[in-house]
Amino acid sequence: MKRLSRFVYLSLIAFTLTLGTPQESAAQAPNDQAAQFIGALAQNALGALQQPNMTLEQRETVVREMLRNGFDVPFIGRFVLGKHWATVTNEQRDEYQRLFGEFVVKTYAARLGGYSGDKFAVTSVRDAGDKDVLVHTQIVRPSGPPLECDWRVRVIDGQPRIIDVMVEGISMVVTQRSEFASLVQRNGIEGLLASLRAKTGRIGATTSS
Amino acid sequence: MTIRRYFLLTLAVLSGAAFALATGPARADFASGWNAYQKGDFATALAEWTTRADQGDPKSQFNLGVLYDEGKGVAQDRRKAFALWEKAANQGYAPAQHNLGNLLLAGEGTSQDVVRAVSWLEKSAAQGFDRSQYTLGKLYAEGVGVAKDPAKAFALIKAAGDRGDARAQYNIGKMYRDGVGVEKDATESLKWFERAALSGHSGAQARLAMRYSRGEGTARDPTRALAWLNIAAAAGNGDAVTAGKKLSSNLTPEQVEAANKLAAQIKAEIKK
Repeated sequence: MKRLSRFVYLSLIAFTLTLGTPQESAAQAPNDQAAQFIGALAQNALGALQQPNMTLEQRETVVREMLRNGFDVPFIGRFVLGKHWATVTNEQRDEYQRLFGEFVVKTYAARLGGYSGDKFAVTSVRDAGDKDVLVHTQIVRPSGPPLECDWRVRVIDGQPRIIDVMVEGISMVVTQRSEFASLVQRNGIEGLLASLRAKTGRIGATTSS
Repeated sequence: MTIRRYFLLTLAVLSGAAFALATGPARADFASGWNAYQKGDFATALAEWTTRADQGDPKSQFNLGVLYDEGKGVAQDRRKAFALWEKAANQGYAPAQHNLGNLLLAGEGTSQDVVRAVSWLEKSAAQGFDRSQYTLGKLYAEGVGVAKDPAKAFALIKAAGDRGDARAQYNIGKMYRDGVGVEKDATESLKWFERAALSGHSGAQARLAMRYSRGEGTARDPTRALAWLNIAAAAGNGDAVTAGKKLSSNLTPEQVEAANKLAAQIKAEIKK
């Protein structure tokens, strides 16, 4: 998409998001498709987090599961592990992908909003290279600072998938790739798995005594 | 307004005020913080738990730490979470000891310190906190930051598995299979993979299916194998989708039908 037409596309996106009905008939511009995809994830997060008769922890689990399906976890996980992918056992790979998926959704689920009083908006959409679209979103919350981020979306097998998240311009996959490489260098794949286990292993609010 | 009505109204206002005094901000409590938290009203939860945390209540210190850790109702601040969890941990509160150990292991909110992490995890594990038993068991199994100790690893992971932790149950299955920290035992291995599979672990479900498909540690049972593959595939295990298609093509329509029925029965069992 060229810069000049951005405004037109954004208006369209705002329009379709308001309607809340994705238009599937006509072939969509990739930017529209990506923006609608992220918008729908946020909409679904809102629906799930406002469910009655479930604890907040259960509702958040539903949202994380949805976000996990939105990410192409196998694709990113493999890229982030880099050259070490080839040297680990199948069981280590399985555990790594599971933990990495948990880590990603735990880190970014809040950026879909959906809690009481959250205001979510897709604020801009732009091309990123030949294949990808960056969808910028903002959550304004009743308390705490606003949360902003860019979701890097690529259409894979006809499906839009998130392949990176950028917060303040810093790419998650680039950051994790170098961090994981140094962890593996220091303590082997076991060191990386232990670190991911620790990062995803904390428990949430509880009434247990 | 008659005097009588005026009197009644005054009485109502007064008793209302008395009620507000008894239940209002002066009585900040854990439960009202919890109710607000469940509604997603994090500002109220923050206020309630801050008051109680300052009074030294470990549960409030812990939950307040979670709000800071996750940036709920406040800007994310892991240092603050660390400080709060440390206070609750020092009072012997197991969830706080567990989370503190994990921050120290990951080097989040503090600098990495595996020795201190292990010492906190030992405390919560000794209280029977299964998440800590599992985390600690994996450290001893892999020798990360501690000397490798397969027997100790097995004992810890077994304790967590006995308490129902699905990942621990899956690991017990692997340890019996490989003879790590315990003598090799194909039957026990199968039993623990089955327990993990019934606890909803999709990796264990896929592995169990392979056992039944090949007849390892049990009689060959392609119907049961396909049933478990269907369940693992539904739980999002990509390998199970491929394996399921392959296995189906080698079975009769009756066997496939029987597998679907069995999968439905097992799923009902898993939900319980």
